[in-house]
Amino acid sequence: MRRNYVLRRNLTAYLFLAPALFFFGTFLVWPGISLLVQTFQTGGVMSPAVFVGTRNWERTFADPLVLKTIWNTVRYCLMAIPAVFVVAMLFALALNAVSVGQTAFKTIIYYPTLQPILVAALMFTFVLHQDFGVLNVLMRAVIGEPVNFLGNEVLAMPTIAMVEVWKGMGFWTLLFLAGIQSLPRDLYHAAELDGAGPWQRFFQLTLPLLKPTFFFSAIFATIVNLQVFDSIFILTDGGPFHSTASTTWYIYRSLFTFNEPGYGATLSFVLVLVVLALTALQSYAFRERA
Amino acid sequence: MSLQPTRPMMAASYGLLAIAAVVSIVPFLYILSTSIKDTRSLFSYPPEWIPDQVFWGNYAKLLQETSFLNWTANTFMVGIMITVLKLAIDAMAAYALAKLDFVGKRAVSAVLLTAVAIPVAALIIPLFFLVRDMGLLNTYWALILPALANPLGIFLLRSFIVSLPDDLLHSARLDGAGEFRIFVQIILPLISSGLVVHAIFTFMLQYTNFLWPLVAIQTESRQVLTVGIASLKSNFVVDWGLISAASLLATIPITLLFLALQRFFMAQSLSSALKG
Amino acid sequence: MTGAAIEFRSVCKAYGDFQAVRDLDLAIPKREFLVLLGPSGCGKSTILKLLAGIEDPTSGEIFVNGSLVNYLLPRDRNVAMVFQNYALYPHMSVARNIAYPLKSRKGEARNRAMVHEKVLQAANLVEISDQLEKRPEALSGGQRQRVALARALVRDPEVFAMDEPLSNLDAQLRDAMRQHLTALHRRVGKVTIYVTHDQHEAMTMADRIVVLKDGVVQQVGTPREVFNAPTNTFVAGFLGNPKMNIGPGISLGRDSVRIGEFDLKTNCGTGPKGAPLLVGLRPTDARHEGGSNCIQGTVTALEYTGADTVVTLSTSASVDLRFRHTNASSCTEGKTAAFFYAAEHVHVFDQEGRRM
Repeated sequence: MRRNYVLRRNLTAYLFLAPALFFFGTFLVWPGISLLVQTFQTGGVMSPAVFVGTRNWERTFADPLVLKTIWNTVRYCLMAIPAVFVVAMLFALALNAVSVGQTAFKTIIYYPTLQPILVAALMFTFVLHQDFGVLNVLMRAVIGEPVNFLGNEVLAMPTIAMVEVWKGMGFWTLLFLAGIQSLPRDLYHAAELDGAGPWQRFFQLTLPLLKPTFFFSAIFATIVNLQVFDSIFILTDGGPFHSTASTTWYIYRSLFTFNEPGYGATLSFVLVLVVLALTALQSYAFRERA
Repeated sequence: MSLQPTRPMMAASYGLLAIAAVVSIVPFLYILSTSIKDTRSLFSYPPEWIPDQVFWGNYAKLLQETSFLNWTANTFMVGIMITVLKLAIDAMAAYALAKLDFVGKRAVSAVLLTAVAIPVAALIIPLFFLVRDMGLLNTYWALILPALANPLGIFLLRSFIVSLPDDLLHSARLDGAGEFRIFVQIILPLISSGLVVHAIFTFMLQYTNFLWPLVAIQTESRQVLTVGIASLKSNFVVDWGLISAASLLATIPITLLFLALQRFFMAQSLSSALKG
Repeated sequence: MTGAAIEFRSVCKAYGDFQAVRDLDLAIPKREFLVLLGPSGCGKSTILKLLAGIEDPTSGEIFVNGSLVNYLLPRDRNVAMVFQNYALYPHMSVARNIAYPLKSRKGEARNRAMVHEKVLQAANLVEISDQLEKRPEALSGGQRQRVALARALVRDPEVFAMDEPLSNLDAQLRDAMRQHLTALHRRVGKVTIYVTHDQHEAMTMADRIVVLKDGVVQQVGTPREVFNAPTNTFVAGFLGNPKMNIGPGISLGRDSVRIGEFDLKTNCGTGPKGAPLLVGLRPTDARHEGGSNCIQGTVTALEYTGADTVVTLSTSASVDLRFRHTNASSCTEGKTAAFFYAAEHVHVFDQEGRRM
C-alpha cells in the first residue's frame, strides 16, 4: 500500500518530465555521446564511418589553424563582451537618469537586438562597403580615404565585434536597466545624505550591487559569443588569411567544405572544452571576489 | 536611483541617448534607402539618401524571382510549431521540478542545468548525422525536433511556478484535483505572462537561427528566411538592392510582434530568463 | 475501533534533523471543535498537513472514521482545509472558486444546476452570495476568508481543518468571524481542527485545546481544565494575560508553600517539606481582600489597560510579581499594596516545571 503510494507519486512527476527528458536525451545527450565517438572516426557522409584511433586528435594538436581559431574566438569575445557591457551600462545609466522619453529611447535602442544577426551582418556589409558604404563616406570626409574594414587582417575582427556590439547593446542595456531599477532606493537616499556624489554612488553602490547581474550576464554572453558564426560567415567567411576564422566556422567548414566530419567532431569537442573551461573560470573568479 | 539627476547629467544623458538612437536606426534607414534605388543610383557618389525616383523593382524581383515567400512561410511554420511544442514540454517539466517531490529531483535539475552551458554549435555534426539517419534531413522536423531539447526554458518557467504559493496547490489537491488538472487549470493560467515571455524568446531564437538550418536544409525552397536571404549574397553579381529589400522585409514580422507585445519584451523577464 | 472521527497513533514527522511532531497520540470525537495551540514552530500546522495528506508522516498512523488514511491522496481523505492566506484561485470568480471542489472531483455529478445550487447554499451560509461574480482580488480580507470557508463547506467534508484562518484579519473583523465560525460549526456539526497561536481564539472557540511545544503535546483538555490546572509551567505561562507569575519557592509540607517571605496555602501537592519548587500565581486571580494567603510589596509600576490596571510589586520573592487590580486608585507607585489568593489559585510545580 505504501509502496503503491510512493510509486504513484514518483510516476506522476516523471510523466510530467517525460517529454522534456525524451527530447533532451535524444537531441542533446545522445549527440553529445556521438560527438565523443566521432572524434575517433573518419568519413560517414558518403561512406560509412571508420574508426581511426586517435588520428583526429593528433591532427588537432598539430594543426596551427586550430589554435588560431581558438585564439580568434577568444579575441573576439574579449573585444565584443567588455565593449558591449560598457556601452550598455552607459546607456542604462542614461536611460535611468531621464524620465521624459524613456520608453521611446528604450524601444529604439532595443530594436537592433530583435533582428537576426544575419540581417545585422548584411546591413553592415553595405554600411562598411568600401565604395558606397555610409561609414566610408564618413571616413572619406574625415581622413580623406576609405577604409577596407573587412579586407584588412588587423581591422576585420574588431569590425565583426563592433557588429555584435551594435546588435547586442539593446539587450544588455535593458537588462542592466532592469538591474539598476531593482536596487533598493533607500540605500541611495542614505548615501546621498552621507554626502556621496553621483560617481561615488555609482562605483560604491551600483556596481557592487549589480554583481549578480554581471555574473550571469558574463557567463551567458561568453557561452553565446564563443559560438560566433553567423556574422563571420556573412561578413568575411573567415578571411582575410583566416584572421576571422572562429572555431565554429572551422567546424562548419570541416563538415561541408572539407568533408571531414570526424575532424570537425574533434574541433567541436575542443569548443565544448573551451566553453566549459572559460565559464568555470568565470564562476571561480566571481566567487573569489564575493 | 530615483535621485534627481543634476542638469548637466541630464543633458549628458539625453546626448548619449540621442547618439544611441541614431546609431540604432541609421543602418535600417540606410537599407531602406538602398532597397528603393535602382542599380545606377545605388553606386552614385556621394550616395543619395532619398532617391529622386522610388524604385520598386527590388521588391518585385524578390517576390517574383526568389523563394522569399516560401522562406517566410517555412520560418513561421517551423517557428510556431517549435513554440507551441516547447511551451507544453517545458511547462510540464517546470511544474515537476518546481512543485512535485520525486526521487532523483536534484540529479535531474543538476543535469539539465549543466547542459545549458553546452554550446549548441558544437553539436551540429552529430546532430546532422542523427537527423540524417532518421531520414529527416530537408524536412521541417529536422528544424523542429532538435530545438525542443534545450532545457533553458524549463528553468525560466520554473522560476515563475516556484513563486506561486504552495497552499494554492495543496488546496486544489484537497479539492480533488489530480496533478494534470492542477497543471492545466491552476498553474498554466497563473503563469500566463511567463508563458508569453517564453514563447517570445523561443520564437525569436528560431526566427534568428542561422547555423542549424544552414546545415540541415539543403533544398532552397524548404529553407528558412535567414539562410535564404544569405543565399542571395552568394551569386556572382551581388544584388545589393535585392538583399536590402529582403533584409528589410525580414525585419517586419519581428517588429510587429515587438510592437504588439512590447511589455513582455522589455520587462524584468529578461533577467529572469537569464537567472532561471 | 474507537468511535473517534480522527485518531493519530504515535505519529512523528521529521524534516531532516528537525523533529516537527513527536509521537503524537490523539483521538478526536465526532462533532468536536479542537484547537491546536502553541507558539510558531511548535508543529501545529504540520499536524494539519499530515491529516490532510499534504505531508507524509515519518512514522505512525492516522485514521479518519476508523480507516487508515496514511496512503490516501489528499483528495480521497474527505478533509477540507481553510488556509491562512485563503489560497483562493486568483484567476477564478468567487462562484468558480467555491464550485471548484465539486467540478474537479472525478466521477462527481457535474450537473450544472446542482453545482449552482450547492454553491449558492454554501455562499449563503457565509453570507457572501452577493459577491459571486467578483474575482478574489476585488474582495476585502474578511470576504476572502468567507469564500475560503464556503469552498470548504461546499464539499460537505468529514473534517474541517483550519490553519490560522483569522490571523490576517484586523482585530474587529476577527471578533466577528470568530463568532461566525463557532455558530457555523454548531450548525454543520462536523469535527473541526483549528490551528492558532492566539490563546484568546483558543479559549473562546474550543471544545478542547491541545497545547503544543517543540512538536510535543503538553496538555489536552477543555479550556477550563487547561487554564485552571495547567500541567506544566509552559502551559501555565502560555495561557492567560498578563502571564502567570512563576517564582521559586519551597515546600512547607502538607498543603503550604513559601515564596519569598509569604506562606501560601494551596490545593496542589507540595512534596516533602523543604523541597524546592515553583509557585505560580495568575495576576487575574488576585483578590483585593480577605484570607491569609497574602502577598505584600512595594508598587513599582502601574499599567492602565482600561477595564483594570496591572500592578507590579517588588516583594521579598526573587522575581517581580504582577497583579490585576480592578480599582487601582488605591495604589500609588512607591507605596505598599497587598493581594490575596484562594488556595485553589496557588499553582505549584516541581523544579522541572510539572504540576504537582
